[in-house]
Amino acid sequence: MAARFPKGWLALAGLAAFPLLGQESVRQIEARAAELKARGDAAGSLALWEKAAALDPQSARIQDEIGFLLAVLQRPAEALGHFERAVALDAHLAAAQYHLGVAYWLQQDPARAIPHLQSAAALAPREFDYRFHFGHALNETGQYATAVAEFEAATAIRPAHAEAWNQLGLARQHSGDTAGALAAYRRAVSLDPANLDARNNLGFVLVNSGHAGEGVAQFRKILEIDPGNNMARVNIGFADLQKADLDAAEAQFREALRRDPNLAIAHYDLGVALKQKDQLDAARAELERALALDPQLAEGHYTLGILEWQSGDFRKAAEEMQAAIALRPDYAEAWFMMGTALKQAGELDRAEAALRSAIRFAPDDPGPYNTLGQLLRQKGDIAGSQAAFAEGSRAKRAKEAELGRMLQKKP
Amino acid sequence: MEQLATLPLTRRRREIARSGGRGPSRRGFIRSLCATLPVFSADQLLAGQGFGVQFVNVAKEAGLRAKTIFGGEHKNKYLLETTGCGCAFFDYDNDGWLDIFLVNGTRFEAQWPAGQAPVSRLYKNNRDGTFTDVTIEAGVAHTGWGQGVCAGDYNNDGWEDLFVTYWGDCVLWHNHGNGKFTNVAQKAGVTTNRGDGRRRWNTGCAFVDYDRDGHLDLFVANYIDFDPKTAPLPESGPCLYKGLMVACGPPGLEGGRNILFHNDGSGVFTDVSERAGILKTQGTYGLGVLVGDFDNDGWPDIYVANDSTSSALYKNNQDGTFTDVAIEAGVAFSPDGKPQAGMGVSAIDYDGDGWLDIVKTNFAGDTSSLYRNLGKMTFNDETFQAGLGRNTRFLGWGVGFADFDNDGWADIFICNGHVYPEVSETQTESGYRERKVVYRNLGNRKFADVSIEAGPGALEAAPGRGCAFGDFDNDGDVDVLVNCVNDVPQLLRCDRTTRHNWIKVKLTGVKSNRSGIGARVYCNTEDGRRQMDEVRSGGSYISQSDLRLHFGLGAAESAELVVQWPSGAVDRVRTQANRIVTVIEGTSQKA
Repeated sequence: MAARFPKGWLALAGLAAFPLLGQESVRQIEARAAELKARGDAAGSLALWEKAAALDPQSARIQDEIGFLLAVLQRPAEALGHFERAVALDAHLAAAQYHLGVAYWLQQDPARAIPHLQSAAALAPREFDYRFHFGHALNETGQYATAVAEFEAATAIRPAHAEAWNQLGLARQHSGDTAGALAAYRRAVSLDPANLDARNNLGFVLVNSGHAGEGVAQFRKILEIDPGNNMARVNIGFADLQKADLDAAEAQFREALRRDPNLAIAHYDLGVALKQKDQLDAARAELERALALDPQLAEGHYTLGILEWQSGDFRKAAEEMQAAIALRPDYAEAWFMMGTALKQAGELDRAEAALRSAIRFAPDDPGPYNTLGQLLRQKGDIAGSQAAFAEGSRAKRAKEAELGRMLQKKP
Repeated sequence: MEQLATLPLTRRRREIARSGGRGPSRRGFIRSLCATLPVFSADQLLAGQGFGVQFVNVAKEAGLRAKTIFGGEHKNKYLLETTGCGCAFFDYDNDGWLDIFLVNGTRFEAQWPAGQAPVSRLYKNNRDGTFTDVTIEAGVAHTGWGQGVCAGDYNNDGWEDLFVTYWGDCVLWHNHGNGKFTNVAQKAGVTTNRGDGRRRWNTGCAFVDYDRDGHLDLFVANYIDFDPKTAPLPESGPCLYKGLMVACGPPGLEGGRNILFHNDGSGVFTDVSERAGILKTQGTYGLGVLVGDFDNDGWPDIYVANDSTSSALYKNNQDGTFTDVAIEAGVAFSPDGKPQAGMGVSAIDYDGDGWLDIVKTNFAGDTSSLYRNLGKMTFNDETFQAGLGRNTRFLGWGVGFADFDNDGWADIFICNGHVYPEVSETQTESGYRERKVVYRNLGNRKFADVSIEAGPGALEAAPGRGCAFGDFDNDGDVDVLVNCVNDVPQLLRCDRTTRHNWIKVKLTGVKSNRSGIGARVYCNTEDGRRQMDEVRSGGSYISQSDLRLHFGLGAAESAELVVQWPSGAVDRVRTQANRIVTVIEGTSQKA
């Protein structure tokens, strides 16, 4: 029985090209190989491509084909070697660049994958899959601003591709273009009303841009389509949380947890709602449960840290912030609060280091400068303290000026 | 020792229940118990003691029935409609009983029928728990966007005068002593009108003798340089709060500038803000004003709770100038260096270490701030250590330190209410109308939230703003007056079940200003406690509290009072507990 193409490689299926080689025997072999491939006989096709490679070892295209079939046959390490060889033979072969990029991506090596995906997109800019997958890799690695151009190109090539619009929305949303994100998500949902991911994203942006009612309507639509979609329920609770309708939020999270007691995000959101209701002990229990279910939830540690801080246990607060930072080393707020808690616990040197890290990651936030200024004053460094306060003042003025400009806009 | 005037008391007996005879204090007993039963912490056991205080709203029975009008009831276009008014407990007729002044506001585009426009109200205390509205007879009916109020005898004629701030021209009500007042703001030069047709948004105020020349000067905080012709509308931005479109600001709007007026002694004031250094401050959007000698140098300093930016602490340089040291002193920000939406302020030496500490109310989603004074103009934010970190869902305005249970330790009372009426349409946070928060001082630098047991008056939700503290029925405790937005006021009578003793001190200056404002009083008792407070004008949220000082004495049956006057004079008085003592400057045994 022929091997089935695994899901991760389906995107590659249409990309193999078959230009003729100079030698008649190689062309014949290629033709038979292509025929077997079209029938789904990956192993038979591979044997023929390997035969062709022996006749023409400098062909990048043949190496790329072999790599592709090895990948289909679940032999990824060998596949990778052939893709690398193909690219080494001809760096301008867009398909090989693309396949190598995808192979690295599947190995969870985005740093090596992205340059090859980028090369493929540059070599064949009208190729939808190249633009789409390059953009997707950028979104997945947080390079949203760069991803915007890729998805704008992809949606221009295939205007009816709902998922491309969804990804464009995501890229725009995270680049700060709320209006653009809303437009893209709306397009995705209108093209494919069953794309619940797009609908969910649309709901989120609506909630976060002051259109909570419309956002909740999207989540409710998801529940109509998929009544078992617990995430939609959690998102309705999140919308209630954003509106500070804490009782309604709590009810949604509790219902989600009744249906799935192990839903970490529901425990987390319930913890946040309870914290906002000043029910700190109940909130602590939910946050600890969320972390037990999802130990990678950096926000869980951060919020627990805030709880401990509010309760006056600064050392515990600092420990939670440290745990959040271990999961997310660029977590500026956690560095800031760790510095604050350590300062209050009297550990001034550690506090200073944490506050300086906070400033490194968020130089426009006045808070860490002001806390650092107080700390340095406490340490007797008056000049350093004044400099920190001056920086805090500068950051504050910049924020206020930005707000002032916003308010001067006429509706 | 020379006993001065003592007012006779007509204590109304309305204690709910009485404990047994006086013995060792409960606090002392708890501490000794903890020494033998380490299972419980002292905090747990102290917090478990009944507060013994119930607040009951008697406003209606007392005759305080006029509604305070302030902006739109359901939606607001401008921030001006949200901040509400202050109120005052003060004795305008010198009969020894606190009268009430409630500032009133107005509405944009309101067409009031003749004689129906809202006016600020003066209520005379009938000495039987009720009040009579004497607004018209007293001549203080005045319409406008009223804001704050502060009291002080600015011309030393023996009668307390009132300064009322407005968005627009302020009013200085000169008290003639015959039940009549006249607005002399123009003549005195304190209207704050800048002559360019634009109105200032004056807020908190305080009379303060900053140069200690015996004449009360005047400090006026300013909020926003507001002009409805140019102010952004909710749709600008848009200005959203929890998804609701609300009035914009203050962040992003041009801030106002505080004013210091110097009193030349003839009833005329001069704006000395610039030369006194008042304009040199990072903070703006000033609301609550608090005067106190925070560095114990004998000169009054001025703290201003600023909204959404760093607060200001003007240190008195003793030469007619001030320097804002709030940031260096550690009272400008939250403990994590963030600006807060400061509203109301109060000061007292809550931990008995001889330095005035500060409590400040802030916005919802934040805690109130408790700044403990470490001395030498350095404070530590001990909000969380003290147990004030657990309440974040209320939006605080008026606030006061006062020893409600008379155990010798000043408690904290916070008056709340959301700023945006739009939240009443949803279930947002704690709603537009909010209950009070009451913290009991445990005597160990910690507080316990006793709101739930503080009586129906504390738990009744209201859109509170300014609140004043004073003993309107002279029964030896501290009652609370609350001015609400678009609602009737609250008069929260304090009913105690405790048998703790107390003393009140009324000061009359001779060389110092007649009101005794700025005088510091130490109250020493035989149990070794030494309490301290100062007579101050203004405070809380743009309000005026009783100028008499109140000390709870616990089980102590007498006290020695040491009065340090602004003139430098010191008086010592020994007195029995449970009375109101009047000390006239220079007439007691010299220190």
